[in-house]
Amino acid sequence: MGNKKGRSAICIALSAVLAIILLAFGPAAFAEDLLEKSERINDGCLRCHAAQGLNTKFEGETKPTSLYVDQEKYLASMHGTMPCTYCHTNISDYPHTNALTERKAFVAQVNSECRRCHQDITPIYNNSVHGQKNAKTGVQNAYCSDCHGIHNIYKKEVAEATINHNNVPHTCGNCHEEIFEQYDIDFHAKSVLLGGKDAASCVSCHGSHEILGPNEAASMVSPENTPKTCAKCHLFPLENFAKGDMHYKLAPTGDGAVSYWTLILFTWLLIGCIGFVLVCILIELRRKWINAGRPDSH
Amino acid sequence: MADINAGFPQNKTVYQRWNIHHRLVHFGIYAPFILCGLTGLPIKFHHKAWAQSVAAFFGGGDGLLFWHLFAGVLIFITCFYHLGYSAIWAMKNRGNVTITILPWAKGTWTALKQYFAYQFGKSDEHPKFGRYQWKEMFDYWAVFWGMFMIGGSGLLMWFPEFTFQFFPKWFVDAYRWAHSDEAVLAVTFIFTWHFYNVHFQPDFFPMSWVWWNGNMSEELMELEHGLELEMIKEKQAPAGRGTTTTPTKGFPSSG
Repeated sequence: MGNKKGRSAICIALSAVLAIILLAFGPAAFAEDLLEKSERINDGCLRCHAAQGLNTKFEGETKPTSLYVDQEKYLASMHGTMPCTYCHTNISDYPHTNALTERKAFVAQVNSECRRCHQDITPIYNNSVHGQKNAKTGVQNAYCSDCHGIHNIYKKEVAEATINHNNVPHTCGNCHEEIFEQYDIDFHAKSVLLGGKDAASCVSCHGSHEILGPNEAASMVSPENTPKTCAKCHLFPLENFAKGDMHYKLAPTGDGAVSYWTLILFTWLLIGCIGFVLVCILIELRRKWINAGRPDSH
Repeated sequence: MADINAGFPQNKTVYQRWNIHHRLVHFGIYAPFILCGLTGLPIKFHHKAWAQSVAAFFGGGDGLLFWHLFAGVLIFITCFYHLGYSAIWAMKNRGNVTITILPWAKGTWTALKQYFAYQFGKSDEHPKFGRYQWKEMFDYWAVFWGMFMIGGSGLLMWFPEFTFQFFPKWFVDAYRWAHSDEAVLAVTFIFTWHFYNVHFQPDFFPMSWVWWNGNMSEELMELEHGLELEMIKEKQAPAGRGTTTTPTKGFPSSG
């Protein structure tokens, strides 16, 4: 019957339209659902965790650790549209029956979740000096969060980001304290720490996820590669760029010895010069005072 | 003694100490010097809060360095202007050149001895200085020394691609310490010693106007450059009131 045929045609046409609509708007609808889901979950978490002063004591620790999450910062961060449970995978109920109570285990758990999405970084990181040390010692030497932060992860272009060009020295310096002190007296450091964008921060020369120690041939700061690394900014590679320690200590001996004695020399030059002219000013004023007191001066 | 208006230009005999070139050179040194100090001190003391504010004002670390180099270039230009002017001056006055800024210029050491004897109260004879006092020589040659210590190291740091062809890193590092330490010395020196001598000392307060109009009154000339005044008077009759004498004829001025 023509009627039946016509109905099938209408059915097919309607299915096609429905399929097109679903294909076109389906993912968007799904994404909307994820965002809503994350808002719903995070609202629940933040009901407690947005309160300043919320804290806990990890096992074996006497000092409390804050559990406060700055809502504004988190929402603005790279992961602000994700549910808390994406990283805190073992939290699904209240009270948190599966919560890890030991600091190390807790930090390791959260950081192990990063690679679920960022699996492209994992092999690079594992080859780095940080990763190699992890494999050798069985101790995690640099977690993702040590450099990137926790609830405050931003793109490096954001001024507040821990990996922002001007914050990198402080971020690395959290562990590499001695090197930071030595970098700090360098001109590159002064420019970077005063807000400059042109001068080199730690990662400009050492790299980031792929970072290697100076003794490895592939390292950006190996003796062979150092001139090339400097030439990223300094026009052409020069052998002298690689000679001597880049980070030196101001001490009477060692690589910073000449700088140290120059500093001492000029400090005494300053004390001597200024001391001398201050004495001259005083004797001049004294003489003027005596002259002013004499009867013929009026 | 000194009357309160002594330092001001007045309707009296005045002697020209600085011509327009000298005054331009002084301006060309001090204005960029202040800018160099303003932009350089935050680099040396970059941890201080004020350093961060000043850096932010000049546009962060990069802006700070830009203005620092800009001012440094101006000082270099002034120095070459001064050297060029002095050379031309010496050529024009061939055969009659007395470089009075040299420490062994006539009367310097006598006046220096007189100075300390007078200031310590051992003698009541006021020191008779020539065209330049020992203080002025000190200031002048300090700029020469500073150009090598600060200007030289500044250029080496500005062009590392050139520098590292010839010098090792420890040399440039040490030179950089010399750069900023010498700069702190220069700033301290100028704002204590120089400012005392030309601003705060009672004869000149609020300031000696030589830097502005180049002139000094006869009264101040007696105090500050007694020997030069005598020499001018011996060789040349003093001009009348309200005019400016130019002592360059008998006693040529160098820079």
